[in-house]
Amino acid sequence: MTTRGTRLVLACLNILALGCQGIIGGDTPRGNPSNGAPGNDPAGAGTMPSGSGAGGAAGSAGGAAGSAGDAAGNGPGPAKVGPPAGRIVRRMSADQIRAAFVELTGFAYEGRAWVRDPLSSGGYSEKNDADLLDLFGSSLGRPDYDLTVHESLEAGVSFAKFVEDAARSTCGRAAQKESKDTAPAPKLLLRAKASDALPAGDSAIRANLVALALRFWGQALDPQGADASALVDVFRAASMAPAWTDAGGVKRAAGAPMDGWRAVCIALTTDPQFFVY
Amino acid sequence: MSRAVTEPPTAARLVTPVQYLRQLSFDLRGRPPTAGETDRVAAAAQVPGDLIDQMLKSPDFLSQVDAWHSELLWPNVFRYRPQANGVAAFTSTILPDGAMPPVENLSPYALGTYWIGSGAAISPDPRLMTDTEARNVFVVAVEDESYQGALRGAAHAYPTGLCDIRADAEYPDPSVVGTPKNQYVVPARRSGNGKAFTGKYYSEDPATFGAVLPFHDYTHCENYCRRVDCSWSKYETRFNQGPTAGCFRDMDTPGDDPAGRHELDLPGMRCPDGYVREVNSCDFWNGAHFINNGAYFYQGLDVRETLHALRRLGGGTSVYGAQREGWRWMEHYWSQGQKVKTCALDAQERETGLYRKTLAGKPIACAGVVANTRWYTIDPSCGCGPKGAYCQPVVAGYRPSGESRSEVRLRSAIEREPLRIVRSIVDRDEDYLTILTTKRSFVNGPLAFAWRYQATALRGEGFLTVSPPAATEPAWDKVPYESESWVEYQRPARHAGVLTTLGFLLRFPTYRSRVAQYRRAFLCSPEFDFAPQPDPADTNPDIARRSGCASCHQRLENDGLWFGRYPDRTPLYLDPADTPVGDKYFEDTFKYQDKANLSRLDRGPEDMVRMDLAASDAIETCTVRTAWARLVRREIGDLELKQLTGTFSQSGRKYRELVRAIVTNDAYRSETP
Ligand code: HEC
Repeated sequence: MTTRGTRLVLACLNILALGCQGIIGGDTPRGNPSNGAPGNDPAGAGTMPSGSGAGGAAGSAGGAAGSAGDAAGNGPGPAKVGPPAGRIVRRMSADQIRAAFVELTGFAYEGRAWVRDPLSSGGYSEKNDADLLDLFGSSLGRPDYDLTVHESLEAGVSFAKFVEDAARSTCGRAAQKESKDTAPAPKLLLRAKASDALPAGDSAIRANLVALALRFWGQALDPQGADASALVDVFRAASMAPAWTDAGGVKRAAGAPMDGWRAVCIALTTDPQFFVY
Repeated sequence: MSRAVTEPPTAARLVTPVQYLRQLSFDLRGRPPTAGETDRVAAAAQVPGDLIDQMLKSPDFLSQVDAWHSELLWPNVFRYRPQANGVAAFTSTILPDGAMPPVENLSPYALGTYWIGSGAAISPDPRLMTDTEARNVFVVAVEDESYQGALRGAAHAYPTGLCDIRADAEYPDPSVVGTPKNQYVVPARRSGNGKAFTGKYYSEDPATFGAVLPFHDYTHCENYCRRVDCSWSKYETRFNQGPTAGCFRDMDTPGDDPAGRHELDLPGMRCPDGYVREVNSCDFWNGAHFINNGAYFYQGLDVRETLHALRRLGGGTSVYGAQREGWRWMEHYWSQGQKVKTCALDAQERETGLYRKTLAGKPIACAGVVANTRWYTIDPSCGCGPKGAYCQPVVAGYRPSGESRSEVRLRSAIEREPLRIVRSIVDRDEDYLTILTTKRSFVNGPLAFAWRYQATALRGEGFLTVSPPAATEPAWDKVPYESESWVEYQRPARHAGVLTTLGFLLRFPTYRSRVAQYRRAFLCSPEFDFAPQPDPADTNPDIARRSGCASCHQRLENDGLWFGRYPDRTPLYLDPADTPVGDKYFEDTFKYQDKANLSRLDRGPEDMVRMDLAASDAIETCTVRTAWARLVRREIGDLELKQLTGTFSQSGRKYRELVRAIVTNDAYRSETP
């Protein structure tokens, strides 16, 4: 897991290095003098009238605001470079990441937590199936409009941690549900059957991986390409693991295809291609 | 910052159709595309235009519109929220009748709750009780504003002002009050000293009211006097016992009202020696209150049924003067059709009080006065009003952020109202800029109820009443309290879109902050983001002219006049009929402003918006800029701004058309690698 964590953080840093200003902090369509894009002078002459009724004094206030705006608009450096042409990618918001897990795995990330409950004395109660990505939305950057007023889209360590926990939980439940071929509306088995195993099922498994990557990442993979093969490796490692006894003496069953799909699902959802768009 | 790189920006590349679909779906619906959509787009190698239309027309798009506008309107009024008098509602710690847990096992926050008997049809063993059963059992007792204060800030919130709701404490039938039937016998096993005694129920009958409203011994006149000095240094003498206690002074002099009565000269409050009893107004600062009949008071907590409180606290037995309050079954507006055991004082449903009069001699409205509130609003004949309209249940407990269901519903309705206005305009493809001017608004159940019945009962930090958006409105009458759907109506002329909603006025509680947020959010104005160095020598009291302040405050003070009828830190509207422009309040508040501008008071915020709209396209371009920044996530270029503002404008400023234009723009469809 260390490698995955590192990879994830690196990927985020990578995004930063590529001029992804948005990933840190809220969007700043206005008000930052150091990045004043041309034309960012709404407080200037354009809006004078609402102060102008106050006579000369108001005029000078408008003028002061206007000159601040000018400073922004004609500031040195960045403004001269001009904006990059394309859209800037950022990580999903708290609500989007929650919705993505629900749509793509069929499950919300649930767990035990204290939640607000107006019907209980004390106003809170402990629930086993609390909707954790919703509950911890503020840790994922959702503003409360009291102390924070902009969505924070920082791809920090806590975000990575939440995503990984959510991935383990939701992918596990989806795999469990689909371990019977009759499961309706499958989310993981789009092109393969629960019984498809390596090596015989290689082509069905690759087809399914391609379908999943399209769904989770929006990426069309070459079924025989390196990316697809890396995912096949993940599938193989989990689905073909021999039975073993862990350090704590707990017996672990041998891997099965659904363990493979669970692992693939986790790999897909903890990759920045999933949560950055 | 990162754009300060010296290299020219790398050429953007168009994203694939499936990636484009993914972007669209996340941005316009807040979720990924469905499997079917992904397959269709992958097969067709393009996103069909009608799919974008479909997304823009979906309810999910309106939720996105809510979220985007939350960043402009900051819908959170928790710390300024108006609340009605609390009615403590408990659902836990049910014990069999008469069972008393050992004192040491009780958390102070559970005080009182263990009196819930087995009278209700529930299992006597709390462990066997289902959640539903537990929720069906309420003890309801008015408690006072100190509790709300505690909810907001202080570390603890005591359930206060409890009455005894054991079955044998039932409130007597109102038709027999004043007869010997309002007496009751406290059996020996409960008396605290092993002897039975006779007590009296609370009575609504004016003839006996005074007789059965004995305060506790310590409030007797001889040692409980009006204090001269209410300062903290005299705190320790708050019982006014001993030689240092301040004594009556002017309490026996002719009172405040035309009849010569002191305002607190209620029946039963005149002591045998002829003095008017003071009701310990100094304890205002102690978070304690006093009107509880049979009050016993301990660490800021008073309990209406003295005996048990004393027993629990291991206290004395000198409480026989105490009166038992009793309770009644009563349906409250929030109790979803259930009857709830309600303390007798609170269960009074009259709309006007019997005792307290205005200085003009008129009865006071109980909506602003509950029996158990502060000395300045006291009238023991006022309870929670018809169906409990003047009270809200509060969550009893330690957590300051706990809110009852009715509190949550009212607060969130206040927060969502402005978003509903925006939503309706976007959804109907109307001129988007009318979000700042429209008279249209909406109510759901809790909001309609609040506007109809609770305006004068709602209070919050620093205010005691709320101005509803209109005096009356037939649409409000059609919405049942439990309804969560929103019903449209037209507000009177003074309103200006989102800017005069209670949610906006509370969240931006001063005229300055209202102007600043309006200009920041809707004019994209950075004018309040820079503070010049002030000149310490300049002490001009007019901050609109003082150096270092004027660059912001010239605007804030003068434009603030448009919000002048919505006084700072209140949910009030000062009607021109009662408070004309020449009123001293305005003269004081706006004493430095140009007198010519005072007419803005009557013209209101809509006038401000109209002037800005007439003067330039700043609101329009700001709308484009903000939507662009959200979707493309970078500053908009000059040319792009010009084009899109043109498109937006030509569409009749339909917000959907603006969004469509942005998401079909090449910039949105390409990513900067
Ligand atoms: C950068 C802009 C800016 C400058 C400069 C500025 N103010 Fe303000 N001031 C504001 C805004 C915006 C508000 C309203 C904020 C609010 O109430 O939330 C405000 C509010 C106030 C208030 C009311 C506070 C309240 O609690 O209601 C006072 C008093 C005040 N400013 C004094 C000053 C003085 C004195 C100076 C000069 C030394 C000054 N301000 C300079 C922007 C500014």
